[in-house]
Amino acid sequence: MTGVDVVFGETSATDRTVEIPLSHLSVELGHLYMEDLADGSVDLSAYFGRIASWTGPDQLADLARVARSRLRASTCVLVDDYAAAPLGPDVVVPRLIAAARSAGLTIDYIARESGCAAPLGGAGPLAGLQPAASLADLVESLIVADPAAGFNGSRPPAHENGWLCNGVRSPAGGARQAMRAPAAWQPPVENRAHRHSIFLDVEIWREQGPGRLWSCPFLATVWQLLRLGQLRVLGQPAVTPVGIDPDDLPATWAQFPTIARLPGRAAPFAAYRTLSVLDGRFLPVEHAVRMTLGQVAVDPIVAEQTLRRAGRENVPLPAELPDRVGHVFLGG
Amino acid sequence: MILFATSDKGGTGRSVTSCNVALRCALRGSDVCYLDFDFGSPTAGAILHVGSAARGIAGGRGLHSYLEGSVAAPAELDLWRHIERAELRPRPAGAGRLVLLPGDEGGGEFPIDDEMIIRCQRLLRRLAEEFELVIVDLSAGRSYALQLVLEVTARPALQAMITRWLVFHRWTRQHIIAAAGLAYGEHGIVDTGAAKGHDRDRLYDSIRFVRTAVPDPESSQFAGLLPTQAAWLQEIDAELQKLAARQRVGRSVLLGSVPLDPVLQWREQLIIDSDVWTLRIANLETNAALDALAKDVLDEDSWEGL
Amino acid sequence: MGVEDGGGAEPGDAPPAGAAGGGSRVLVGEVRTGLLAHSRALTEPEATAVVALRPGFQVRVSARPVPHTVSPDLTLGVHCPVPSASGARRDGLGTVLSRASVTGGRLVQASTHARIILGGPRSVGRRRPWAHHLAHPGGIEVGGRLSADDLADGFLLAETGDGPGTTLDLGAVCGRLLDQVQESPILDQKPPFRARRTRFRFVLLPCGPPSAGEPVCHSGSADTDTTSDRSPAPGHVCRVGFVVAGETVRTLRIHGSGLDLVSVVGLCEDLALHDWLLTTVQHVVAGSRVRAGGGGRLPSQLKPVIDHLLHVWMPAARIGEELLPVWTGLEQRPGFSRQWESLVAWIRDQLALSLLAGLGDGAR
Ligand SMILES: Nc1ncnc2c1ncn2[C@@H]1O[C@H](COP(=O)(O)OP(=O)(O)OP(=O)(O)O)[C@@H](O)[C@H]1O
Ligand SMILES: [Mg+2]
Repeated sequence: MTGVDVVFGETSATDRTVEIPLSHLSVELGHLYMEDLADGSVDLSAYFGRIASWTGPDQLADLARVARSRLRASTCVLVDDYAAAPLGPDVVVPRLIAAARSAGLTIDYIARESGCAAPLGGAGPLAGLQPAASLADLVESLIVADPAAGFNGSRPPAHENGWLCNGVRSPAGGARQAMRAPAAWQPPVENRAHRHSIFLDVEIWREQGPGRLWSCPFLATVWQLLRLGQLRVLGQPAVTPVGIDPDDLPATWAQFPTIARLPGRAAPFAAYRTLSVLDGRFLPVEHAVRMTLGQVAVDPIVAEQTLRRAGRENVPLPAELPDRVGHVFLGG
Repeated sequence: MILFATSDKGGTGRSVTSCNVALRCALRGSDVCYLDFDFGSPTAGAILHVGSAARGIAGGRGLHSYLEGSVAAPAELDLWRHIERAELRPRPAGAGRLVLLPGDEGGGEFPIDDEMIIRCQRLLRRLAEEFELVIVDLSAGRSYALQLVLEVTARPALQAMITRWLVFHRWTRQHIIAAAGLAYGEHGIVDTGAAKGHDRDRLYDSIRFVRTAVPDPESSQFAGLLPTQAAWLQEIDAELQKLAARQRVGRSVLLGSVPLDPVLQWREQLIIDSDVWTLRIANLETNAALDALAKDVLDEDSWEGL
Repeated sequence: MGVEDGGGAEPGDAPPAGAAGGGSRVLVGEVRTGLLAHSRALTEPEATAVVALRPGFQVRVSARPVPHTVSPDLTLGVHCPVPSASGARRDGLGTVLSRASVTGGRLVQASTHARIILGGPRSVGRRRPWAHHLAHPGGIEVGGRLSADDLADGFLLAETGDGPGTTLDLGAVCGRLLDQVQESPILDQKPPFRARRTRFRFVLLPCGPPSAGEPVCHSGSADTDTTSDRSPAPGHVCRVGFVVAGETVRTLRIHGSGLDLVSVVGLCEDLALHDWLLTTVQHVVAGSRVRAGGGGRLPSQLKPVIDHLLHVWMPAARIGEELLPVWTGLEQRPGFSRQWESLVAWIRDQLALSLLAGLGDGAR
């Protein structure tokens, strides 16, 4: 021993993962299909009015598990422009802002669903890199399927292209060796079911044309992960909100940021927890979202950073992602 | 190199000959493994004197189980530990590895699915990483096994590897025509391979033929023949040579020719020096032919494009 | 499934009643090492691309002392009985972590490991939601009683892995990953020579008196048991047992406390790498000794070894202070570096002889 401690470090050998600002709660003020906006069948003021009665400051502080005086909450709306977009941002955004305002609500952020499926990389620190095709591809690669009983790693995980489930599918009558008896039918089983199975099988994507068509529940999962601030690309935030001017809006969604910040003193977009106040018709979608979230393993460094920060802030935070996601489903 | 052993007809001597080639290549110092892809009847263990795997391996660890996906890796038998011939144990000095991947006992033919293709490709690529010579003994004729390996060898990971084909046939009219058909005919190796994405010319160039159990009219075996019979034999042999040339399976694509041998006639087995020199049951010519075949298999010149 | 702990476990092995929640933890893992399927050494960007196995995640690169590129961790869920020498079937649920690495642009490794958390209530595996396990990646929670030694013995003694069994098969996960890397389109599939893969299995157990459940360290002639004295400091190694369990299988049993698991995995990868070098070069040298052409010609098989492998030997370069005793122990018995140096010396002699012979030929 010379008594001299040599510390040898190479920066490229260690990960650098950026932290992003976090609110206590991200509140999603409803979700509408583009058709609902286009045909004018929905009374937007009444719609936001019903949402407002569930998003009072006391209710939010309660859900965020912090004192009302400390509460940092931001509000957001996701525009459903992925499948079809008959109306552009210049029409939709002012309408949403006005309707929300008439119900006493402020929208802080407006995001577009198509952004979750759009090519990544290009701007900012990710310029020139092609780290993942899109946010959706990134999240798909984070899925660690809930293993069925008996799965010991000897085979690759059963991989039904484009589908994810919460258990074991009913076996398909596949190929068998010659001169063997055919297999009998068996029911599907939910993993760790409570007495009886509630088996759920969700379409994640479908092959369409040259690429993939991502399913609505899967893009909604990506959306939840963005709101929870859990997505990074090569250690950098996957998406950063971009400020917009409501008086100067583009006509097409492609020219609109993935997440747009409206003028005002908004709390950070991402949050420890999320609350979505939605029509009851979205329950199946959100069921699928919860199931999928429960099988997403985010970068452990990010997960760790978030938990540590919540600890420092004295905000109780469950380690499991689905438990950070709250819903209110409205009746008709 | 991955070497696929095929034949159109059954019972040509494909397995016996390729087992002997495997042994001789290993004795010359190469690391060799032998895969029993004759899924309908996995009996390579019997030829290689491995009693415990004579009809395939028990316990669901063979190639059938692997390809179906029920085991992560198929059983590999180190033949220097399993061959039941005293002369070959322990591993002779200077010999390379010699490993058998048997099929499953009771295993049968199976149709092919995508997962199986991936598993087969993984296995062959891994074995080619460890062994200089990977011999795959396929079922006779246009089989699932042949379809599977044609599919697999067209995949990118294997396209970069050296893959070659041996078509075995007996020295008769019917066998010559059948062998040519399997190689070049409709739904044959070249045809099917090209449809699956192989380069047609390259695939064509990678096929060689091996004649088995060839009666040599000159040999002492036929010494007792009547002059008319001997003349007839000569004539037939000449005719067959012409037929082979017409069928494009003539000398230029001939890798070797194994004479009709009394031992092989009666028993499928490995021919080793003691059979020739001590026991004096196998013919010297057979020994020489198998040696030449083993040498030529590993000799790049034998595989030069035409 | 209702099998009680069998004869392998001693009565004293039950976790102390107070520790019911925590239970003891055992790190189990396997490393597979092979020669990269490429004709020349990969450059750093190539090596990075080969192990960039997850979109959006960073590859770790270090240039010294030997270029070394490590993939991001891959997570896989498992739900199956964990190994047990006594045959007790204890169900585990959780995830295993794997990663692949390229060293010196030449060698490729896959390694898979899991922390097995023993002593949880029997029903834990059935009730905790999957998200709980994803929040603690690399952990497998085991319900029901199982002693750490029973588990470790079961894991290290498992015949081959890859088998048709139903217990946790880390080897299969690891082997698949190695295959996946070797299939990379960046590789030309033309390695300069053929080499066997080796398998290196390891366990990290708590410090404690050597138990009867360590037969592996004393049986068989090829076995080597490297034991160093226990010291009470935190973050230390108590005992190490290294076994050459077959031509290509090695096992390492470390008893330690307060050690950083990631460093232990790194140590095992480093050991596996050097063991592979030793095994491979030994094999080539043994072959050339039998076939030595005489006349001072350099046996052709030696050239690739000289060209591609000799410079990769760099023992314990990436190892933390507290784990150095493991290396030092293995340097005493079986003496990794000693063996290596004698092989290298023999190769150098052959090289010198062939040079002399070459000179002689030239003079004639
Ligand atoms: N050179 C030879 N001389 C005499 N008999 C031979 C010769 N080569 C092979 N045989 C015999 O021919 C028979 C068939 O051989 P083998 O089983 O190797 O053929 P195969 O083409 O593999 O058949 P299958 O299609 O049934 O697998 C065996 O009895 C074998 O011993
Ligand atoms: Mg046969």
